[in-house]
Amino acid sequence: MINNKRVVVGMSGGVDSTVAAYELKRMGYEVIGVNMRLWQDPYLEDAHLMHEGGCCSLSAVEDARRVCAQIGIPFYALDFKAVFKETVVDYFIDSYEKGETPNPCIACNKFVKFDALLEKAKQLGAYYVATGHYAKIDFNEASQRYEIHQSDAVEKDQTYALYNLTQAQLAHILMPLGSFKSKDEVRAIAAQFDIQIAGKSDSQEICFIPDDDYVGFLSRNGNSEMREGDFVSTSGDVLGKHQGIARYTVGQRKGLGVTFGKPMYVVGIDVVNNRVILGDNEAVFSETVYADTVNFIPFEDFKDGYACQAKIRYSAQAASCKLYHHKQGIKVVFEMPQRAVTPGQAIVFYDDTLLIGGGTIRKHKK
Amino acid sequence: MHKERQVGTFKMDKIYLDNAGTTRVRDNVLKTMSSFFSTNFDARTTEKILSEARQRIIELLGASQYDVFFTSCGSEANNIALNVMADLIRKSAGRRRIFYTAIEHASIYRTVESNAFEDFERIRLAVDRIGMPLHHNEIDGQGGAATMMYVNNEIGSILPVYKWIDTFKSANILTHVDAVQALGHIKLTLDILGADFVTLSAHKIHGPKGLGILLVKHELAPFVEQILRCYTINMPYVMGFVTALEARYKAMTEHLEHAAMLKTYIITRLKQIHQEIKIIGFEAVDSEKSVSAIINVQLPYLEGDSIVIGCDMAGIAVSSGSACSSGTMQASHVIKALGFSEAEAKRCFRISTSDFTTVEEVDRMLEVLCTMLEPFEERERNDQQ
Repeated sequence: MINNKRVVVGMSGGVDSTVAAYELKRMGYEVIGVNMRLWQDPYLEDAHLMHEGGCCSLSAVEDARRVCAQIGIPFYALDFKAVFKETVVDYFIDSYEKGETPNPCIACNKFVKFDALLEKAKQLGAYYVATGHYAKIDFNEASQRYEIHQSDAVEKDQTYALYNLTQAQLAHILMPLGSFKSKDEVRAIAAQFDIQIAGKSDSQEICFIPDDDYVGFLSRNGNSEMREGDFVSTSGDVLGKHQGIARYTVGQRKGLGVTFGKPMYVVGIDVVNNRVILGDNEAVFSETVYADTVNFIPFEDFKDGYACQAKIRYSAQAASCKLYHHKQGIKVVFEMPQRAVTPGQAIVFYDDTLLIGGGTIRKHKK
Repeated sequence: MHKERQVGTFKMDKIYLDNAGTTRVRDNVLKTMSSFFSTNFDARTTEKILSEARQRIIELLGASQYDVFFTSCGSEANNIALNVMADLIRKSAGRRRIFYTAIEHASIYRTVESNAFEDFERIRLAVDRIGMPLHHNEIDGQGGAATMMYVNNEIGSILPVYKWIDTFKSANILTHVDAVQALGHIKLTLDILGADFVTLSAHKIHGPKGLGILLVKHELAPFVEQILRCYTINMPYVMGFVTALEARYKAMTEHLEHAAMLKTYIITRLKQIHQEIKIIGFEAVDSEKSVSAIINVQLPYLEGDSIVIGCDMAGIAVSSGSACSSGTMQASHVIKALGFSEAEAKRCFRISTSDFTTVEEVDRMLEVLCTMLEPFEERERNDQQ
């Protein structure tokens, strides 16, 4: 029997997931705490670099186990290594090798947290999966659809990474932190639990690269070697040598290893010719963005010319734009040109605080 | 009968169906150990008690050609046997190679595959669908070592160790048998089995945890003594083991009948619950081929760790695969070695019964299983409509 009061909560042992589990228990749910064991770089695992700090470390399992005992809920560590490797790590590597800049958190949400974990929750007789994401899920009676709204704690909002969620998934997801006004409110509740704040770097960019050295990671785990190639100007003139395309991302200025007479930025990556294209500040701006693998939440489809706001990266300001259908995907035309539109990253749409949907950026032009 | 027990600050009302993992101590074993724990014995008396205990073990196991060593667990005994064999081969003219099956316990395969054997050729014997090792044509007269379990801990299959030990011996190969899961389910006569080393463990037969027994052929015993750590033998545990072994041997027929009854009952019920439920290993009750107390079940829809969790939340202990350092269940290397895919191996779990297991307890576990399968059956019915 599927119990619609039973919920599986992904627990990292940190503040957010602990408070999420605690809140659900307080609301009367039957809560099961789960720590997802994910794939780790064998090199770092061997060097025992993964055992301290970070949400995927062994100490995180013990932290999660301890807070679950304090909350008074059962706790289990579950193995998601294979699915994580396949859908997140391999995608991450492929994306860089294609000259794009991946977003592994979005892939993890789509394939691991809200797919594999949701499937596991069903096996455990739970109706819901819950996480400590800062986002609000509502059911709109008028449209009969689930909607995602930005968190009331605006600076913590995590809706950007949730645009892929489908109606079928949303019916089974709870995010109890969405209505908290600030992280301080969450911390105040967390204060009663024995959470090891020390040694937990939640600012980590990518959980499977705890040392933040993604270039080192790619050279150990990638399929193709990092090959030296040319920096070229937008008109094709050779400007110098680069150290392998995976080291560069659109908009990057620092770390090019070559100095020019004026500030130069990465404006594109040409995988076929193994070239990194550089341009001046002007050249980093684009008005039109093409995206595919799109998903929309409050509706299935839109009319060409649909006006909304879009973020081209997690930290970007939402900017006014219009959406048009284009081949298999969409075309987004911004009112004001956007800086450093990066293929591989997500473009995410909002109507004020309502998350409309998003897609993967493939191309852009002036 | 199943009832709640208050132990220290812990309240336990678990139904325990993980007896191949460990077993609770029998009441008379506890009584024996308690009296030996709470009495002072001088060195001479202790020596005498241990000597008599060894003698009794030798009698019960038909092991007159063996010396008895006590270790802290079965894994330590396995480790010592492997290391002594390796040292002996290094000192001899024999070929540096070790045969082991693909379904050995972690304490065997991890040691064999570790640096300790890096100068050895490691020959892993493949097994068939029920765990029987397949012939290997490199078993010639050039020496080496071999280790083989008597009974597999996950599927209960009895390996043809008599035949294999003969084959290895005639090829001048040193032999070790890990008989941890055979003890108490099969009447052992080690003199006839003839392996050079045999491992046993006390806690699988309602003896104490923390006592392994390594039996070593007389002529090889001095080599074990050389590498044994210095320690005080846990004499009360040894006495507990002897008591547990005597109790089991006295009631072997009843034990086997009870286990066979439960296996038949469990499998019959499982087949009624869902036609796609499969038994891994020997399905029929046959004391020549498998230990009835171990039943490995493959489910449709559900992964083994889901069943372990679902049962745990209902106060029932079963097991799946082997736990890694984080406590995660990983797909069993044993089931994979039988030729099942990763996904198939993940859908397996183990029920292991004891003399204390009742039909009511089994029913409770099967009820949980039914509850967990129900939504998936419903989903399938809906999909078909």
